[in-house]
Amino acid sequence: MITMLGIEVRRCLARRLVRWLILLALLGCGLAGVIGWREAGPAGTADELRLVELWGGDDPILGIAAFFLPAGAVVAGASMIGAEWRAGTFVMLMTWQPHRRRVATAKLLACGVVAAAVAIGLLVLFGAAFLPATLWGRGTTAGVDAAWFASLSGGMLRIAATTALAAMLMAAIAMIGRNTAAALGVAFGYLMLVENIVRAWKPWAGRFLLGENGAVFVTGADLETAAFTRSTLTAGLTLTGYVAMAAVISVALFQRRDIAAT
Amino acid sequence: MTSVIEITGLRKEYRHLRGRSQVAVDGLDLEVPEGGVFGFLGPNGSGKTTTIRCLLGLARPTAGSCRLLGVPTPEQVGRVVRRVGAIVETPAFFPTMSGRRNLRLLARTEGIGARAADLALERVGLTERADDPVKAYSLGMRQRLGLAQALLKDPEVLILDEPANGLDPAGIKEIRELLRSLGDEGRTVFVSSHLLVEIEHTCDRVAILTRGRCVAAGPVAEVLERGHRSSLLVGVADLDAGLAALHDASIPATRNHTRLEVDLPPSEAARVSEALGRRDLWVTELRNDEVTLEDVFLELTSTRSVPEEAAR
Repeated sequence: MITMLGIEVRRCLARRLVRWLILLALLGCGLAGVIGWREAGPAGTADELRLVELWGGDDPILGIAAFFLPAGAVVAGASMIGAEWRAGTFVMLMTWQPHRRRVATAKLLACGVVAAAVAIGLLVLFGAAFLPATLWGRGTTAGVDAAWFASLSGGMLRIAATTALAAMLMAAIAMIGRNTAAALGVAFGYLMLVENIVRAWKPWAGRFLLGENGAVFVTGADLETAAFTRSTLTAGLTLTGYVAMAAVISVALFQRRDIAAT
Repeated sequence: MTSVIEITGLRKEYRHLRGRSQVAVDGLDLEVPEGGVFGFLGPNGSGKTTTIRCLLGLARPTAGSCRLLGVPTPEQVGRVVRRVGAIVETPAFFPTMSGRRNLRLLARTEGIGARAADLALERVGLTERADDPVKAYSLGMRQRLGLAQALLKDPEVLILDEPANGLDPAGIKEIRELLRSLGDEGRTVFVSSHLLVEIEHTCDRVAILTRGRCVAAGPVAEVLERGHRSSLLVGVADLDAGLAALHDASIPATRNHTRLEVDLPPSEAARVSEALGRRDLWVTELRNDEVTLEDVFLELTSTRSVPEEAAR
């Protein structure tokens, strides 16, 4: 299983879309650093860049990454599996490794591992992009202490976990639908239509929605509304449960259905 | 003789939405003995690829059973997959990776070393382009890479679905020689193809499939004997005079563009030359009108010749 996982990770990283998305994210990190430098006033003024704002306060800078990373993972996760169905590579792989459960599980896990590793790397780079401004006269590191680092690390890990879960969920949906566009369509339709309808119609059911649970888990702040409360831990477990459910269904269907080249 | 592949009563039915269904394979019985090259022939849509997919565990039979190297498939295909190399349909690889990288990753799933990948590439003549990305390969090169991955396991059995697809004539000849040499090494090569001349020259045994059923199987020579033709081709300078001479001698004959077609078995060739000689018409050519595998194939797979129950 470990060998299969290693091979699938290499295959994931060889995908052109994954490479383009990583490149785009790297450009985004660079751009964020440049904007941070340009927008920050000289050190000691009210406009100086405060490193603690990277993760903390009402509107943390890292929150931008918390949106874009899972969004990228949604596209990449669907594509990693959908493209394999389109290309017909499953057929050849199954003539080498006919244990379907092992193959499907390795592919889904590989999506998660790659997404998490890439997310952590990009989050570190994104944070590092603001260091020049804070270290060389356009900001301050005041307030940066062990507690802040712990909070930042926790936040990064939760964002990376959310990114991994998003990639695995989409990979599982693409495994069921055997098509990238169909998987993306289902995800878009669900998030835009179903969740908004549920939010408006039955506010108490918001506790079960991906949007609410994702927001609670990433920010690490418990959500308390008039209709429900949600803790970070519960939100994380809920998201993991949904992904596990989708993964089990996709693996079961992969085991059961015929495999064709296209 | 031990059977490497045993298929009994195989039926595969694809059910579509709205309740429609399509029978791809209908009660197929087939045995492939150990060693040599076995040709699996059939027109498009006759069920060749579906049979191979069932055999390799890619599709589940609706009814019947398949055994590969003695184990039932798809249930236990994992037990023998290490001993079987296969190409199913057009081989698909990861386009951004090189041919060598693709093979090495496949090899790692079975704990096969990188050197084996290099040897397989060498055997199919892809060494020079092995480090180019697969997306830059022509169809023929992808087919060769597919063959290389099938050979990578050093398999006892090769199951190849149209391995010459997309190859140029020189490439087809190379593949023919490769398959023949693999068969001569004692491996069992099960090859589906529609290139009948290639099959005729390469295979020891054949099976002809039409509408999901096997209509002929056995050694190539035996299958050829099923061809109904048994006639002579005769060349003379004056075809019209020759035709008249044969008719006068009560020998049934017709003429085509260049020769006379005489409806007599080869053992009666002397009667033909004698009848023509009496009119001073000298034979320039006299030979059997040989039945080719293509003739037999077309005869057996034409709609008219399919038995009623097989067509159902």
